[in-house]
Amino acid sequence: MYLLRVNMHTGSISKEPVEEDLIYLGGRGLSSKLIARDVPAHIEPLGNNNKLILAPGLLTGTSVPSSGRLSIGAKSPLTGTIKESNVGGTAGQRLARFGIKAIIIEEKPVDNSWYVLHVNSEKIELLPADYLAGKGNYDTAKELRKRYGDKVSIVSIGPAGESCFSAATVAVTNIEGNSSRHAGRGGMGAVMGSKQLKAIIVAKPDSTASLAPQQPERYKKAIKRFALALKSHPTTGKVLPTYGTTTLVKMVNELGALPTRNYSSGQFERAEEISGDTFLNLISQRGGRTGHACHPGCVIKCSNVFNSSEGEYVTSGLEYETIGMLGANCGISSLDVIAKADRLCDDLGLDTVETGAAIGIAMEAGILNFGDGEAMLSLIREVGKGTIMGRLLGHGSVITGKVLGVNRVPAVKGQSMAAYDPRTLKGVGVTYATSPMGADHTGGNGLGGDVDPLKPEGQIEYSIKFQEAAAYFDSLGLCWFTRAPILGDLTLVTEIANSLFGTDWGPEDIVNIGKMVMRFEKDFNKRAGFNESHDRLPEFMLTEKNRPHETVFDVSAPEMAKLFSKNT
Amino acid sequence: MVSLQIKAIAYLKDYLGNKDRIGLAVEQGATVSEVLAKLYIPTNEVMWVLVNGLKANQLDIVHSGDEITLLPPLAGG
Repeated sequence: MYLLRVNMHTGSISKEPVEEDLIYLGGRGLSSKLIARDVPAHIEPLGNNNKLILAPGLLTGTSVPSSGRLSIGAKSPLTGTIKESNVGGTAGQRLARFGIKAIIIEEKPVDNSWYVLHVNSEKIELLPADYLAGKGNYDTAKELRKRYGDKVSIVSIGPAGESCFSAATVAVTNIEGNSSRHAGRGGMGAVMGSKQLKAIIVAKPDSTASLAPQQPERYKKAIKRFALALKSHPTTGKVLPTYGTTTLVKMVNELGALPTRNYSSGQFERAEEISGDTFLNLISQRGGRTGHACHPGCVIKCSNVFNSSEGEYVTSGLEYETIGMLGANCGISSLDVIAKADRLCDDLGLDTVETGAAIGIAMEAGILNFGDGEAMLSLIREVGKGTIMGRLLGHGSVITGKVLGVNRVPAVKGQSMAAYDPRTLKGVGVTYATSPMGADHTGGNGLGGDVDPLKPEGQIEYSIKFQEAAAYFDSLGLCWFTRAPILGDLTLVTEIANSLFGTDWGPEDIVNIGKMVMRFEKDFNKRAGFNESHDRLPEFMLTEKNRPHETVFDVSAPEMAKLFSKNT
Repeated sequence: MVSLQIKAIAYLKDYLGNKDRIGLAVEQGATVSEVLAKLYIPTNEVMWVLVNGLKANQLDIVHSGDEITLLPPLAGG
């Protein structure tokens, strides 16, 4: 495998050998290592010196079930910290099968022209692409398929990324070619936009595997057991293939942790209307789909296709965080409105979580009313028009709150929380506070276990375990949902890795990947000026009691700092 | 006997005859795990049981009028 370095200033493209110390790094581990090592921590995220890294996971491109994840990392314009954003879709597996360990995009072009990077078996080249300027992700993918063939995978940015908005995403096409999978968090789309790179086109490689297993029989047995474990666990075999993550709406509402009207309550009185059951009914009435895979080789298939009442495609991969943040958090009780908002965000290339938080703030400021779906959709369209209000929204919750005079902003280190209120789910609160990447559910959102979610006791250890786990899952390229049957016992993952790589790892070596990755990230952040005083939830969550449990976030900040410095 | 309201989410409704909510009577002094056993629900299919909205332990005793909510093991992300 090799590193592909693309210099947007000189136009040079080079294949470089993988250094010894990078061989067993992949995905988030590799992107964070390269950024921590090669990007000076104090730099401007949208300037010439930031680098955008795209790294398939260590297992991505192999036949390990549900391992097709791609990490996209850079210094984040939203948080100022190091960031990795993780995405499914078809590009990760293909890049790995072309032998690409990581793509490193660096510097900026001399002019303001747009470019695409075309990766195929004969050639890798940068090509002018001004014809794509201003296009949404869906039209970009359509246009590129017309030019490069129906089978290409596309990694792209929409108008939000072109405008370098801090909440801009990077879209990846799914199996049907829809731009519905997003590296959503942390503004990676803005970094790609700052480099004038509109899209990466990835042809279908001839190879069907990125690596040949060192011990084929042992490997075959291990992945068979893994597929069986995923199929037989209730989470990955029953709930996710049927509902995706939409069941969480009711569950988190019952727990009293569903952010409602800009985090002013943990229960939404109309949660039933946006619940997993309502969602399933609409899907079946309208000819949509559940049990839909975002990439080949996924056995969980948590994705879906959501159609309009006329039976026409609206969006795909509609999931809990989007329903929570663009739904309950904005007082919206219509899945049709939420699905339209999701499609608009996917097309513009905007993070649905950050956008839902920013709209909730705009609603609190009185710019529009809670529950007004049409006004919400119009506001999202403003992002594409580049109006002042659209620009506010595009830069996320903190900027929106500052300009509109709302100080109840559910964010840490510049990034909004996802759809779990940390006053009720305190372990998730610790993750929001201490993750190296700002308030980010993908940094390790523990749900379940023996710890009482309402009590402060045990939450720090619980969060550390999940944060480390998220770091090694994202480095391996395993979908985070595969954790259900394997998190309690890593023997099987270790067996897969050893038979594939010919290593002699124990389960503790897998956990150590997570610990090491977090060390790279925390070290970068420290050099960028972050310290433990930044590991705090917003003040209103420490003082304002949340309904229905009347609790505040009361995990001690000095305790969090102490335990994290000991562990990482 | 103790009268309870049982609520279930997602596929756990199957154990309530495909209903969201049912009434259930159990013996005085029954525990959460005995409620699950009475409904023939394997414990690995339930992530958390809430009693009146609060997480309960398997050995907690239920009381008349309690609302028991059954949450399946779920993953978010």
